[in-house]
Amino acid sequence: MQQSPIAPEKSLPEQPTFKAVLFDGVTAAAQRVRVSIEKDKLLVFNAKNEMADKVSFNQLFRPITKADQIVLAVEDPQDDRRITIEQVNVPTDVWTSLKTLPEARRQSSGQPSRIILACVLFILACLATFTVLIPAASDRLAFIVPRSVEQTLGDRLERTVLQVGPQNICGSSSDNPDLRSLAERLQAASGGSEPVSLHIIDLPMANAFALPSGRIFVTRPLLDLSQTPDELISILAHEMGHVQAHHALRLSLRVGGSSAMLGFLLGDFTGSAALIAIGQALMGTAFSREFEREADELSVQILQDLGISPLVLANMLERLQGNDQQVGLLATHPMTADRRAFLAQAALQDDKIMQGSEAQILSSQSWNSLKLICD
Amino acid sequence: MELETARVVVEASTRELAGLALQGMLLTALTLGIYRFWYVTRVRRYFWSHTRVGNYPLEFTGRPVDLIVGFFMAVAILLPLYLGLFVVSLGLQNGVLAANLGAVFVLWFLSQFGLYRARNYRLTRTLWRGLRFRQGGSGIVYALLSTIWLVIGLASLGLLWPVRRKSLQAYKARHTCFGNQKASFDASLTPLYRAGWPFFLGVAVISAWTVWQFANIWQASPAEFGVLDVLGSDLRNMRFEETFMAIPIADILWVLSIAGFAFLVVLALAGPSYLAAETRHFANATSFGTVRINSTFTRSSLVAVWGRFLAILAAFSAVYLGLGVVFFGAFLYSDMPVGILDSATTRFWFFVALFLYYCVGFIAYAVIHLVHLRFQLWRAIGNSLSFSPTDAISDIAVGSTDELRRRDGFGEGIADALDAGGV
Repeated sequence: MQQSPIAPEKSLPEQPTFKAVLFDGVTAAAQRVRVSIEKDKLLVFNAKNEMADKVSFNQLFRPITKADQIVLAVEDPQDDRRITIEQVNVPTDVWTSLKTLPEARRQSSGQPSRIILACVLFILACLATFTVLIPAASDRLAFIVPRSVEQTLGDRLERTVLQVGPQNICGSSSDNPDLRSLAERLQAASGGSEPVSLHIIDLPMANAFALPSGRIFVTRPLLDLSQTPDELISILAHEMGHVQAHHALRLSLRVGGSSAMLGFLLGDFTGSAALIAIGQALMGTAFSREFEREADELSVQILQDLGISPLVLANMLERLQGNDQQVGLLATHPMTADRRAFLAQAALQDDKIMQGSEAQILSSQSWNSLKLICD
Repeated sequence: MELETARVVVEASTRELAGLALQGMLLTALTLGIYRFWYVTRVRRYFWSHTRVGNYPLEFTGRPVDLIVGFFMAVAILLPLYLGLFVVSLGLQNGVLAANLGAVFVLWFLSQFGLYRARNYRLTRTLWRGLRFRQGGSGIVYALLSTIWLVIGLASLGLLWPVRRKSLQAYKARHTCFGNQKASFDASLTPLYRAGWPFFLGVAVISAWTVWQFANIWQASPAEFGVLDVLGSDLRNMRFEETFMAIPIADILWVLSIAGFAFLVVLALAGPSYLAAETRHFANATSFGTVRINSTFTRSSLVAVWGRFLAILAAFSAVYLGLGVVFFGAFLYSDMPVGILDSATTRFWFFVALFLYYCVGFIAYAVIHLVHLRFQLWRAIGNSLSFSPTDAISDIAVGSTDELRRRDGFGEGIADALDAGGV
């Protein structure tokens, strides 16, 4: 490409000019231009040696820098004009001054402080979702979910997650008259609004837990450790408190929501992790202190209705604490001083209940046959 | 003077790219994954700017914030969908498996939609000679096309797979513009089948054998069940487990491992020749007006890249696993008192060391994969390309402003943000 000799015209600067290629963002044609540097400005001259553009250095950056080539652009992201300058066409000092231009736009979002800010905001948003949003949403949702959904969830958890085969069930309120009458008494005492079923299962660990839709499970070691019917019923009343407050469903929704979201963030779309997490949480009945306190409060009313002192529950929980076998119940139902104080206070306030006397909910014959249910 | 034919030249320093990858992966790990948006953008800028097309480098103008917006959009669309599917499946008593298959289908469809939109994102952020590329068409149409051809391709035991590849590439290419110049695509199936028949014949034989073996297992199975029983199984009465208990898992795994091994052998022997021919032919079939693209990509350059990558990976794995066995083995079976993991402190540091070991392996693999596979393939394919005549490019002008203003369309960057789009 021939370059017209630079004649001393008015538009020409005093500084030397250098060959460059301009792409004007309108066509793909490579336009031969000449550029020069005047103080902190880049001047662009077209083929007729007329000044075509004048850009201040603080409006320029170099998106591409190679050993032999620099591409210049202006700050405006909508402006696709580019000037390509070859190293062979410019003296060293000009090349060096071009290299002082920033490599990215000055208002670029790639600043380290912004990255850190984005990370902190992201982590805070995740924390807020897990600790506030999901629990709050779960607690609201638990009371509007159709009972059929709670029923199905209970079925699936009972079978696919607990891994309790029919062979492990010693007896249920559906086929055992003693358990059925016990379930009916509990249901009546709790206001009768929730379905209740009782199951004694043969698992090694002493535990009692409630699954969605009123399924209360008591393990064989816990039954063995109950010396009187009232002691067993006090534990059942506590579990009934969980049932009344839909704790199982609320916890399922919390754990399910959290692990589903976590699984999504990590790319697990099957939802299997969520179901397993729910199962583990419920199996351990890892209810929060808030749930335990709520269940205690509800159980006090049930126990009063049945004529059993809340102290029986307190003593039962405390006694279980001293037993080596009670790992399962201990870990998940920590007996704290304030729980004890609350139950003792409730017992004092109720003068209808005679301390130390049996409520006679189960006949001694029924109690004896219930104790042998797993044999 | 512009040459009649101009070449694409990709040249870069492997060490520089490895440094970029290492730094990016470390920061990604330290920021729990947030830095990946910046990392992906930096990698793209590097790939693009080290690719000169007829003396002028490509420029990637995308910003990390585009990917972050795409990620939040993906979360906004997929999370409710996913949670909804989860809640629906909880409420279902029958057909849980069918519901899961439905969910997989929905996600497949969305992934195809996302891939198409991600291509548009990359094209609209690619600046060359002052103009941008663009992609029209519809992500939904592409996803439908991809799904229909997937069914046909599978039903034909893979024999019609090249037809699917050609059809999808034609849709993408014909909706691609550089400035105001639309691309055209006139591929024929002959060169694809000429280079690919041993591969697809091999795949078809393996597929037919697998189907035949499955039919045998099905017939020999003692339980009487049909596909509908499995899909609509009632979880409440344990039909589901009974049905699955009846399936001879060992036989199925045996058939699948033989088929998988045979597939790998066929892929290694006959795959490269097809893949190289496809890359070459698809490039040669593409033109922008009078400007034709020409590729000389060969089977041997593809094999060279993969061979080098696998060799480096094998060498790294040997050193990494060897050091791991020596270090953790020594830790576990040392002369120290039995039950070294009984101490809570020791156990804590043991698992910290194990976690760090895992992180080092993960980061090293990511660096090797980027530097020795993705970039080397980009370089090998890029360097095989040229185009002519070059002077016709000067006539191409910017697309209408309206179209340029619509750069930030719906769904762009979703697959990108989830890193499904590759480079």
